[in-house]
Amino acid sequence: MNKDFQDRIDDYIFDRMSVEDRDRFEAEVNSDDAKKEQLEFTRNVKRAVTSREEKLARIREMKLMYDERHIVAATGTADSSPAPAYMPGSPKRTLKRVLLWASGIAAILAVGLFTVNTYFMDSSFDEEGIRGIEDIEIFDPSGDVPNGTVPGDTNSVDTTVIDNEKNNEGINENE
Amino acid sequence: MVAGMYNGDRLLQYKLYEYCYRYYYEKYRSIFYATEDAVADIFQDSFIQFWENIECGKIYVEDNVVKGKDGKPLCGSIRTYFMGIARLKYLEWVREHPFSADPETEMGKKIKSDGFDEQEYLEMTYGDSDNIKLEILAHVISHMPARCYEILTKFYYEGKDLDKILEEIPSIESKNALKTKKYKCMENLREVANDTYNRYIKDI
Repeated sequence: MNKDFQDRIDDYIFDRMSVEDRDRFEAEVNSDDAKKEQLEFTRNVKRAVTSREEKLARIREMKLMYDERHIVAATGTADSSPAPAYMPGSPKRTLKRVLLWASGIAAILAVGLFTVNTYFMDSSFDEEGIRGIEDIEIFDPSGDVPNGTVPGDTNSVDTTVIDNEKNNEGINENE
Repeated sequence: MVAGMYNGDRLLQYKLYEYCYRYYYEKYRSIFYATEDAVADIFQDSFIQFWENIECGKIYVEDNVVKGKDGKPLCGSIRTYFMGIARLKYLEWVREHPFSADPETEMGKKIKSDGFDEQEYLEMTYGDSDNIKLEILAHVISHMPARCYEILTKFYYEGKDLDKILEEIPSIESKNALKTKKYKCMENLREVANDTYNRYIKDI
């Protein structure tokens, strides 16, 4: 392809030449196969690009029509935004879907955390709803030690061991 | 609907679009897997191809019968013909995304077992068309780099001059740079189209 000749080809196919220039151009093209081929190629590119763009524009129109008709069919009303209800691949739809998923997961986590806090971490809950409450001895933070021992409760054995060790070492916790 | 498409009847164009759109979105998942955007692009490219096939007479209506190659009636319905084009467009997409073929789908199994046969693909895409060079050019244009497509569209379809295009594509530094870019796009397009044509005629 001849780069300088391309400008003249473009002027020719867009009808930007004077009559004399056109005649001279056509004579030049007819006597040179390479220039003739370059002109023909440029015309074909223009034709192909135009055809594709016109079809794409028409497809966009038809897509909008399809979406509008299907909104009416679904809602029974034409009082809908002309924006398509569904547009495959649209960034807005993808973002909306991601946000929905994220909010759903956040809601599940929030409920889960609340449940954990309520049933396992909070010591001021209502005792009556707890199964086996009669087997549990509640530790009194005022310092009183519950009577008897609870099976498996480390308080009686380990604390006793620690207290004995402290007594032996003369540790005064009040210092 | 095919006749209406050929005659430019806008209502029938829409009917055919709707007919193909619904069938495509009902059926594609059993035939191939692709991302949401790719599925939409494949449909769009397939419909454009289908439309061009009607315009150039590859399929046409005669005596109320839709006919195709060699003047024979189509083996199946128009929808089946359309999905045949979609399969080809999917093959093109897989060629650019080779690890995306899902072996659970019909096309995925075929690609995994047979691989991508370019010659078969060329024959299926172009057939024995009279305007093979034009078809190949249109096809190559549809796969051009986005910037090249943008420049050529603005120049040859929208009819804008280089100064106007330069305003709209500020990343290009100067009019000379734009002119060179446009020339290189055309040159590249020409080389790829000629190369494709040579590979095609080598095998027929």
